[in-house]
Amino acid sequence: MDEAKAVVVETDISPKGILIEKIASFPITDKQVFWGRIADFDGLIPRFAEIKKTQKWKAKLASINLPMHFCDIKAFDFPKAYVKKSNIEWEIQSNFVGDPSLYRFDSIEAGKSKRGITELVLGAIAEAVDERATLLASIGLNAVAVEPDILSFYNGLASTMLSFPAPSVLLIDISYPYSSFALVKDNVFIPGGNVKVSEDFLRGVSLDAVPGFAQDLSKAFSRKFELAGFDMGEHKPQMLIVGGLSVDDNVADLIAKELEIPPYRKNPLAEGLVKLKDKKIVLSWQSYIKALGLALRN
Amino acid sequence: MAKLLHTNLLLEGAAVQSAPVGSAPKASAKTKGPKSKTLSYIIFGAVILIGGTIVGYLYLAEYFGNKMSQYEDIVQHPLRMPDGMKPGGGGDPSPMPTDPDEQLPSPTTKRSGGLVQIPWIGAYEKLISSLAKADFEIFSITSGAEGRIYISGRTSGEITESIIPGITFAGIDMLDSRVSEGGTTFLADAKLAPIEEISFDPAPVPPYERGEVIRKLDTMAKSAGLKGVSTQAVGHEKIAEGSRYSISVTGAGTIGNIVAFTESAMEMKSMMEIGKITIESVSDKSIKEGEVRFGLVYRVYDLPPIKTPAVEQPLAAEL
Repeated sequence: MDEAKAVVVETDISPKGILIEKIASFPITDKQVFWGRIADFDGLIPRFAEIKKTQKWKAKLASINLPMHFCDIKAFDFPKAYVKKSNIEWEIQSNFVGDPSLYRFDSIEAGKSKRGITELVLGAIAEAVDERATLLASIGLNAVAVEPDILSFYNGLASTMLSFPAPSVLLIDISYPYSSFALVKDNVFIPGGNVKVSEDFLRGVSLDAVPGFAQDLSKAFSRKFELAGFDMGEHKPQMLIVGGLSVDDNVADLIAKELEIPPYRKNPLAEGLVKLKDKKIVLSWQSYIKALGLALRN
Repeated sequence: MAKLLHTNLLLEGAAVQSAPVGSAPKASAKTKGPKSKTLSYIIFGAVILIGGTIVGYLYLAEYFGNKMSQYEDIVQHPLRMPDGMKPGGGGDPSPMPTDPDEQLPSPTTKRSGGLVQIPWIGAYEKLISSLAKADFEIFSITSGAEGRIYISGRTSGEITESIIPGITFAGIDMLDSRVSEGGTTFLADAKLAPIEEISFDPAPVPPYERGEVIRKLDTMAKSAGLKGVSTQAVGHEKIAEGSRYSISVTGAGTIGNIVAFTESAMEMKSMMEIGKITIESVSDKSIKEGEVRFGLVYRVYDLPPIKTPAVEQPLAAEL
């Protein structure tokens, strides 16, 4: 769910495989969700309840995304022996600014690194997390997870393609008011940062904002990943994958053209690991891949 | 193969459980049954949550606003006029005058290895210990851009590059001066020269030793007689070949207390420098005579040492 649209995906996970049972989307107004915060529960709950009723959902569990401006993800290169609860707590105290009681933290191993493992440590504003979990509860679903946007996007891709199509892949999740980016290097997720986007861009009113967005993203990317050996000059990532509720091939191609990075042109669902029940779905895969990543949490 | 990254930000052991809602709230409200009651509770809860969010936001905004203003108040005022002085001409302070010939002192020193990046190690300590020797009144000193110090004071003599005994500034610009009772009150922008050589081989501080450094600085500040000491980590950044952490130490006391503290911190022989500094009088007296409040930001480095290659790999570093 972002400021302009909600996309709902219901999956059936069984020994036979993963099947996307239903996909639905409906528009959201800025009076209902404002800067990522739910401003109108009373207006939003009936919209979900209606979809649930008309689509005859069977799901009892659900997960929802968390806009990236409510969270911060840091990646650390740790020797394996260092990863203990007390050490992670120390890193949280040292590296996250603010009163820890107002935040929720978690950590997860993302993959191997030079020194041992790449450990992701994330912190999120507790109020924003609880608010979204409450929304799920309000429509009769048990909240399993409230996952940061960029991780939901990554998980959706990872579950459909198993291995990323190039050694270095730039992921961009288009959301409002901030879009986020990350790098997947040798299949290991490395968090990037957030870039402000124009509201027109999000709502599909105008694509004129794309060049400015690409310029801001280039700067932010170079600043973040320069020491990791990447920039938007001669050391670009080898591939670009763009997602977001309002993104389609056209938008993805435009951003790829501006950044001069080859875009991922396949449909990850064509890999066959996740099957689609309704083949006539009109939504672009970019718009529901994040929701798929969340659905597979359950 | 890419690994799925499933995180859990929900409260441990308190996953949000659903409340059954049979239909849209409007329909269920008419039935007045248990389902509608549950829904009412949920909506009520949501309203409370939103209310709480707004109140929380306002509280936090005020809280952090206060914290920020406290922090700014004591740590950094690059161009703030000292108390009792007003900008000349009745207008706003003009931007820093830029002189095309003006050059900051070269940070190149005789050091090698990662230390070439920290040319100010010991420079501020030397300045602080020299303040007491100055034969004019100093009301405040505040660091600006790298290697620049703003000094506000009052003197009856001439203001030259060697105004503070033991320190030779690379240049001094007068930002403001006016004749007042007891001499000329001035605000000067002085360019500090980096220390050419240090007499020890500083040890890098890997990330897992930062906590120890914070505790040591805090203890040393209190042992030096400073009051209201607050020591905390205020940031970190990656730099070429390593990383750098910022630790702020704030409090109040006399200039003698501050000198004792900074000298004892130097004795740790760790790879750290004072990066930002503010010392200002809390009375009409100069900082040599009365009580002062101060803010120091230490920059602590994890860089390759000059001599010893056989150093343990740091246990942790942010990518």
